[in-house]
Amino acid sequence: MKQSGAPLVPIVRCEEWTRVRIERTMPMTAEVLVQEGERVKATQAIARATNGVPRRVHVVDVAGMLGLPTRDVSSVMVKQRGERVHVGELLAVRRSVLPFAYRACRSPVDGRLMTVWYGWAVIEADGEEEVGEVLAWVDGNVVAVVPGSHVIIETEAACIEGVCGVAGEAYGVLQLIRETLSAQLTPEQLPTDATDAILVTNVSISHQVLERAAAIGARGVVAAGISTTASEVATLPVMATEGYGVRSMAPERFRLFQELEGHYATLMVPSEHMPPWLRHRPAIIVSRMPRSHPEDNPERDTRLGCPICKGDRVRAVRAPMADRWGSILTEMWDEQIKTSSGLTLAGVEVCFSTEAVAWLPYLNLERIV
Amino acid sequence: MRKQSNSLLVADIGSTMTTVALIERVHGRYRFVARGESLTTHGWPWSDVTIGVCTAARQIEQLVGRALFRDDGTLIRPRTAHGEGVDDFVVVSSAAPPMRAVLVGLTHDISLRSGHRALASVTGVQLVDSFALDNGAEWRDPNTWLTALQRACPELVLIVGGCDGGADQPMLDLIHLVALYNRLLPPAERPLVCYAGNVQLAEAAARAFAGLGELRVMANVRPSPETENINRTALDIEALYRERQLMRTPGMTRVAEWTGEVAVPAARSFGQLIHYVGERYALNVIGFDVGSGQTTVASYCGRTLDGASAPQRDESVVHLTVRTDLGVGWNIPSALRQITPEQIARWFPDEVDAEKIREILLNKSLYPQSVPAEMTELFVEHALAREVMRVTCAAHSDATSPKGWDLILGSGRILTRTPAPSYAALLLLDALEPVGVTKLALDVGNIATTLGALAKHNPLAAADVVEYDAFLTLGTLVATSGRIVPGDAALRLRIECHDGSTVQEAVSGGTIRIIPLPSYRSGTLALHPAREVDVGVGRAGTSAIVEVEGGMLGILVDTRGRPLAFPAEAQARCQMIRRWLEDILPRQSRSIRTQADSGRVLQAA
Repeated sequence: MKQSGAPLVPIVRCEEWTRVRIERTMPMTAEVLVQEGERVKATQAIARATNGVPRRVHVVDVAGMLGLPTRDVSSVMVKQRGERVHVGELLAVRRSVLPFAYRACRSPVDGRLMTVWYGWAVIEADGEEEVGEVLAWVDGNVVAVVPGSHVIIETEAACIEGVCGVAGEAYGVLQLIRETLSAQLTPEQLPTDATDAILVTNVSISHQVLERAAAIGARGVVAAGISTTASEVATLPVMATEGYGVRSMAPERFRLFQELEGHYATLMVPSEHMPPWLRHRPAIIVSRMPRSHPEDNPERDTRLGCPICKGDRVRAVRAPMADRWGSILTEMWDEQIKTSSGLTLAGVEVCFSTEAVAWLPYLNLERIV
Repeated sequence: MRKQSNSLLVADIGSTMTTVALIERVHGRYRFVARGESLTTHGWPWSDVTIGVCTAARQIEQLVGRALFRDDGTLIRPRTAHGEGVDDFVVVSSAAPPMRAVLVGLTHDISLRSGHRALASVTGVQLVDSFALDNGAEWRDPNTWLTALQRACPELVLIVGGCDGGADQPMLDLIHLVALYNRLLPPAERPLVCYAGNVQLAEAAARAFAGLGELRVMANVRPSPETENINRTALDIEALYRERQLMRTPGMTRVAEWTGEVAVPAARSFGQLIHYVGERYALNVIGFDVGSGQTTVASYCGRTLDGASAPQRDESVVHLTVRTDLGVGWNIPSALRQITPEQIARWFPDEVDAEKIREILLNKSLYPQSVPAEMTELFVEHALAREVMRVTCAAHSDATSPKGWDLILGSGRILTRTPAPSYAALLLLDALEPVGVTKLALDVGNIATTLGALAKHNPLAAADVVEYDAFLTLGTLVATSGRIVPGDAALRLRIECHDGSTVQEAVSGGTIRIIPLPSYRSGTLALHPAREVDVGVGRAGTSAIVEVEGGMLGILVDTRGRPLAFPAEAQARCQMIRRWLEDILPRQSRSIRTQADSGRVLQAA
């Protein structure tokens, strides 16, 4: 299909019912516990991995400690590869006809001698092996397994994407905090008990709210806005639907949360260490029972990558209309208009739900699907 | 013989935006005909950069009224008899994330310093840490190395140290320490290791890494205590970035099929452009390219101290500093780890809360393509751009010209997409703080990053576009240094235009003055500084006479002094910044600034 010269804009999902594919990445050494085609529950472990080898090794510089002229230590080793060693036990010894030239090298840890290389003895220290589990996090079907890389789980679900947050994953019951008119939620407005809940508010949250949410047992928080330093205090995953600072959630988005209240939901907030195009957006996913006649809509998938056009639902991402949802009124891609900042930019007219119409640069829009 | 190209498409696939430009031969000269831009489409839901390229190209097709791509999205090449398509396609890119690199060396002061210089000019590498054997006693312990390397979790380790033929045991220890780290990792998680140390140990290094991951042997960055050889290593590492990162960007293989070669890193191409301009016009040139994910400063001294052309040199002599940790788009969080909100706030005409600044900038990083539609947000972004350029400039200080710059070139949307060109001029002045007489130019077409690669491909096309279309000449800058007292007479100047007209001005200290002189006019500028003011000749109070050309702004006189001094008291500082803005901004922009940030909201009928 030949595309028009109309602009492409980022896409944000806020869908009541859609097909979602979750890619669960795992360490290279992980043991995958599921197979393609298998139905999994959100809390089910799909892979298991031990902590990495270098974390538990201790290197002893045998050649250095014995003052050998070369790095070859084969003639002085007392312990051999694979043998168990204990703290203070002799690893290697340099004998001489002169008693004062006797030098010994002892193990600093309990463990097993992994290897001797370049005059170094590498000991795998004893210790509880930390076994980490990779959970499915959503109810769904395993559609692909790539050992040492990832497992893909597909589910029919409601999907609400946000824009930023505090990295982490959580699974719990969606619990809405009464719609508030104040700009920021206060700790007092939180319920007294939120055990296993993912709390949702339509306004911004402070550090105190995050601390209180953790104290009352919440597993995660969804808010319109978060502080720029939220990641320094939050001990649970947090998703901001609109961005940093004092923001308010678009009513359309909050309505969908209201419809989903009481359902089990998965909160997934990726780490922001990777460039944005390499990571998924943070999202709330509520798995739903497959519809009796699930219908794929290939047209919808094709439309995802298309330029914006008249009638598309969009969200303004920058001031002065930031976070508001509307629909594109016209197709006037070439028209350049001066903004309050003095920049002359191409844009479109957008009709907002409040019936207000504003001209916005297309660079400041994202399409809602 | 290679067929002459009459029609070329050039593209810069950036980490946020893709720019495509059409260059065609018109009346015997190559001209920049049209340009289109689009979001870069390497992420969801597209995962194919060619979609962004095609979208931008469609805008050009609509402008020129003919097809460049087929309906199936493939490039029409060569140009058909009906005029559809293009003869050549040149692509540069910065769309791949940089490789996390760790530098290890024998000594902190010698090996690491050379290694740092080599990596500073490499596109696509982010130096996350560096360690040397002489860092302290604990660095003789292999466990310290393992912990440090594990924490850094590098994708690339560069080993440097040892002069050719120098002591080998410490260097062998270093090689084996890195090899041990690799040995303890699962094969797929092992970093790529580049060895650029004592050349006589290259074979020993190869033996140490046998079966322990990939090792690339490169030229020694410090073959002797007196010589440094960083350019070759820099280019070799850059080749790895192209092969390992750029080519893995979704859709880049298809782009390579269209162009017939791997995309050139945008920063390298920008460096080639600066070299090209400096050499062709015998100028000392410095250029800034401020991008969403990285900032590049490139400089080249094309003339000697006595003003003659410097002898022709290989392009590797261009000084290039690429900061992949400083950007004004998606990489803002990284920039904010190095630049404090207070540093940013000092450029504001009004007092602004530090948290508000962080909020605006971090929100911008979430939508790096977005543009400020309100004045406060514009000032925040411009303030960050100043600081990003200043930090990059400080890292580039090794390459400062001994005789000042003849041309300062600005590139990147933050500089070219401003309410008025004078904003861009002010950003460049504040970032570089140049002294003397310098020309200022702006890459208004956003194609500067492609022109270096184009010059390699088709020098004639690059020459014509550089000469006629690519840059907007802002004007000639006269910047003073010395003991300047704000308000006191700092400089008298007289311009005798070649058309016979004359202009005389007296400029007081602490101000910026714009004297209009259109681009089609030129003349002789006589500068008479006050006794303690230097106009760049190296001696205070000495008059100078220079030939000048006009520009979009004309002659800019900056008597604020060097380095720029900021009053400690916030109100005085804001007042000073306000005065600078009023000095340089056109009247209509000043009125915009005073308007409330109301937006253009229309009520529906």
